[in-house]
Amino acid sequence: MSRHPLRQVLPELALRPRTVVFAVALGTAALFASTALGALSAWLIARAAEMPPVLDLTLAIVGVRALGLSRAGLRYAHRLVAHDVAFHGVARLRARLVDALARGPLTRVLGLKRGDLVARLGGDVDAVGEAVIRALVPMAIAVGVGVGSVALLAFFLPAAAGALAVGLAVAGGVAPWMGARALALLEKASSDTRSHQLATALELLEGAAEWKVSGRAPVLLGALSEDDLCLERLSARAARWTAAATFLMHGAWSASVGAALVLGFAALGRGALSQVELCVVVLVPLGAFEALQSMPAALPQLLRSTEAARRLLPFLETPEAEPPAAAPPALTSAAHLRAEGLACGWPERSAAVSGIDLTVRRGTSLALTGPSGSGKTTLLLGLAGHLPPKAGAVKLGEVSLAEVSEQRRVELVHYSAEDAHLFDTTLRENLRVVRATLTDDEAVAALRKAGLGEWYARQPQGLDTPLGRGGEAISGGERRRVLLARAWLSGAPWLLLDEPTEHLDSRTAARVMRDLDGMKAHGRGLVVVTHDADVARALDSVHALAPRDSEA
Amino acid sequence: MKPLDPKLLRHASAARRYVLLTAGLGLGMVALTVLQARGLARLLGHAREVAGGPEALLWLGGVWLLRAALAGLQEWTGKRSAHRVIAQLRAGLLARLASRSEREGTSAGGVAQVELATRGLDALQPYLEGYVPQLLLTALATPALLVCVWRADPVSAVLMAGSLPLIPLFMVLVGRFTREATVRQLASMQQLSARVLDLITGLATLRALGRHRGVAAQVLALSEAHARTTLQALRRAFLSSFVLELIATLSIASVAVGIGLRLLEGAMPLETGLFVLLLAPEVYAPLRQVGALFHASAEGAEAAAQAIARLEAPQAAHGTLAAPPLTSGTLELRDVSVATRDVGRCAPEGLSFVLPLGQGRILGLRGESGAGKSTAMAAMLGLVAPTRGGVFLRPEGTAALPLGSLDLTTYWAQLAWLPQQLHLEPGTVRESVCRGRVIADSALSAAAEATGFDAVVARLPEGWDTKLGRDGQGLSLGQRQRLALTRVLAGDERLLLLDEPTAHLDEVSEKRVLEALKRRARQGTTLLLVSHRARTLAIADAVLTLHSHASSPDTLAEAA
Repeated sequence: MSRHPLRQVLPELALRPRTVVFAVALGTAALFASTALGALSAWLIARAAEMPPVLDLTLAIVGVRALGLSRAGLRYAHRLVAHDVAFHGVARLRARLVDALARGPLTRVLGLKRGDLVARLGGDVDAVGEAVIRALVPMAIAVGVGVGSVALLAFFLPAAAGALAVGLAVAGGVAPWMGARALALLEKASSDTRSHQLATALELLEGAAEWKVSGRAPVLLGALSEDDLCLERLSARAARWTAAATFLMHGAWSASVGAALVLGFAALGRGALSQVELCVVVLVPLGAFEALQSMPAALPQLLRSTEAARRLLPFLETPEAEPPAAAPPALTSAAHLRAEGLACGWPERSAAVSGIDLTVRRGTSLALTGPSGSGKTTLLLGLAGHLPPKAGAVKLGEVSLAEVSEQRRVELVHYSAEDAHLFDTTLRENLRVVRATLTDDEAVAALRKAGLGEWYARQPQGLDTPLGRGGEAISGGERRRVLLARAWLSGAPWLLLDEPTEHLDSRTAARVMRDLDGMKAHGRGLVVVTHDADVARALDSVHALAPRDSEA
Repeated sequence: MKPLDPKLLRHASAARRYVLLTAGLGLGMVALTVLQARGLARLLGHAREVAGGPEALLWLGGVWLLRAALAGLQEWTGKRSAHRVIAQLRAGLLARLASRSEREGTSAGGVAQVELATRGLDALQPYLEGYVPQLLLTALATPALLVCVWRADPVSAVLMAGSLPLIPLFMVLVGRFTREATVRQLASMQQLSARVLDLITGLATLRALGRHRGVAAQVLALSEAHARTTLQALRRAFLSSFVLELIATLSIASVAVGIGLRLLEGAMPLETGLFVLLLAPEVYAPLRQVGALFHASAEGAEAAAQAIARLEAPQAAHGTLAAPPLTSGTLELRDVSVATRDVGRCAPEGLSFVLPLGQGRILGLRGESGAGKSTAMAAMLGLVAPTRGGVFLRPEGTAALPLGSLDLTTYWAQLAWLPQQLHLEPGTVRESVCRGRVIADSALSAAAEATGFDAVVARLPEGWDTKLGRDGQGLSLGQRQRLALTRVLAGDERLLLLDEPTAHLDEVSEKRVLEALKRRARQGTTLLLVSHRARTLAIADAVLTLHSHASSPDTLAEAA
């Protein structure tokens, strides 16, 4: 049986047990202070009614005041400690995941959609941290306060303490479980409708002009309100359950107080309990349920965090060891990059392309074309050695790329993905990513080479020009060219570029291609993936991939 | 943030009912709480005499049962009403979305609006379920409870009434005191988390460049810094709830001690003392809840405010004149310029031409990307108001009517538009092609044959009755293009505005589509083609070239 995902992920937060215990202790003390405040006040008032000498009450008066003062401070300290514990744990988990991704199989990183990567390492990691703050610590506190209250009551009247224990278990366990279950079911049942609704709303927005001109907006609005009706039915069903859970919680509370009353009066009749003690016996359960206030929110949080942890698990698997690097026999001077009967595809999936034979010589350029879905990008990744061949081989000279270590491979073969990332920093740093020792002169020369000379001359901040988040501060064409400058700077003899002219108009695309073709001049070999036949013609040769039959 | 915007009640009728219902249920709960306190105090205060009389216990049990039922009811109405309010706001927002102008459509604000209308409004749920009822309770229950305490023990009531206003007062003071530092820290927190996300997003790129060593350490350092900054911010943020808790519990403790001392003097019966002691926490409870829920609800209140702002935003005025028939007269563009997002640049710029209607003319528009071809078409449709110049319809022998003066729906009903980006509406293939028009099967299949859509339909599981879009079949770009062309060819509109009609088509289909378009022109339909394909533009009687700066005058003359 596989262990609970959250239990597998939580150790990666590397929480110090002592700090966690401290956080729980502070929280327990804070909540117990209010139960104790109720009980001690009851004792004080009931005892005062018997008009004892004032000295008998001094201690109780001081105690009540102290409890009134301490609760807020304890709670404040508890919240800070709990957040501190969780936040630092989250930082460690995030770094651990990045490390696993950086060292693990390359295909794992390359195969991830950018949005997924950010969702996993962003939101999902935070969700695991929230499990600590909003679920696990509050649950521990609820148990602590519950046990404390039961023990306090047991001191006066064990039978009533038993009733309180049952009441707390129902109100803190069964009722929140019912509520959380209803919410989880609702989420599950409504997620399809919700994504439909989102898709339709986006369609409504994106095609706004078309719907207006064709008068079809009412059709979409109708579909949207149908979705809302469906959601309303589902949420009404869930509301019945949460309402029942609330009823149960209040019922458990009433039953516990009621039991304390009945048992207390019976004990009073027997003479086993004084009137003062009776007051305490009734007021302890009255306040004890405050400890459960965070339970209804804790369980749904636990479910959400568990889902997040489940998504994170595959990332935590131990990274594969790098294959031993074969002594590279003059790989740098290899004259050609060759695919021999190559079949490649993503791990655990069938090959996207197969039977590929092609050769790129240094100083020549090759275009890979084909309709979308024909496996152009997959083949390019295969040629870069990033996807291990399913059959055949990719060879640099006479050496199979599969035998070359990743570090050495990326030095020899520069692969630029279609969505290669531009970092939210300066132009200089975005070029230095290729080589840390880059000088400004080299950077500017590369920009000129990539056709950015004029643009660069217009930038008042020069190499310090910020490119914005994901390069949003520059145009699509400039973005492509910065990636070309990177390729130029890489020093790798083989440049493999995916769709370098995507989203460019035909004239700009032609110019980019011309600049690209210039890169082969210095004895480099060039492979370019493009879906644009016009662009492909600008290169020395074209390898066209056939559409895949399996998709038809 | 406004605690409860009255405008929300105006825009969502469900909210009005909800607020009334919540107030009623809340007051019911308060009444039961008072009854329970009274019952408990009586039982405990006279323990010796009453000795757990079964009647008193039964009575108390009844109160409790009612209380639990009322709490469940509150939960139920809260959940359901919140959903209704959100649904009403959503419907309103989406209807606004459908009638928005072209310009807003593609902007970031547009996507934000979809985000608001879908997921954003869900933030209202905790706001409506939790915050609003507690706010109402603070306004209604707190004074009612104070009155009850006053009648039992005026001294305690005065103490509570004195301490209650201190809570919001100190919270505001703490907020003021820490605002500047909080804003500063928020900015640096956002910056740090943006940097972490940037590094993570670029992981694949770093890996492909062999530069991934040290990224994990960098992420750790940045995340640790983020954690430290956040904690500094929280140290201040939690201060306000500390103040709230401190004043509330200290006041309750003082009330208890005060009662104890007066009991000691024999100035008060035990029953009264216990009654006040039991009610004291209840007096502070709603205000404490409001404080606790304040931050969690801020998002919901913000979403509500945004939704209201959107719903109340003024809408562009519409013309009222019915469009003249497009079978005669002319469509005229006079010196039309539309400002682009680049300051000072217009595309198109100074575009003028006269297109005679009802004579089967075909006008082509070409130009490099960004020259304003599609924008020119949007201006002709009245979707974009030109920054300078204007678009006019001139019926034969009368004055020209500016598009802005027309009820555009009467104009749109007479034309067919093929936009560059195609969208599928939910429904069957037939519905999507016919779009509410009555089209004979023969016309449908003739049009489908011309565009090659017949082959697409033949492969669909249920042919013309296959469901499209969300619940049904997805179509590839080429298949969508064929569907949209079939839609255009199957109708009998007298003006066709076609943006890249032959995109995604192979040479054979392109030829057939162009033939069909020529046939339409021979029947007297006016065509406007935007394209960059020479073969497509070849069927035009005249071709206008748009440049990013101005349209070339010689081709202009040719067109006119």
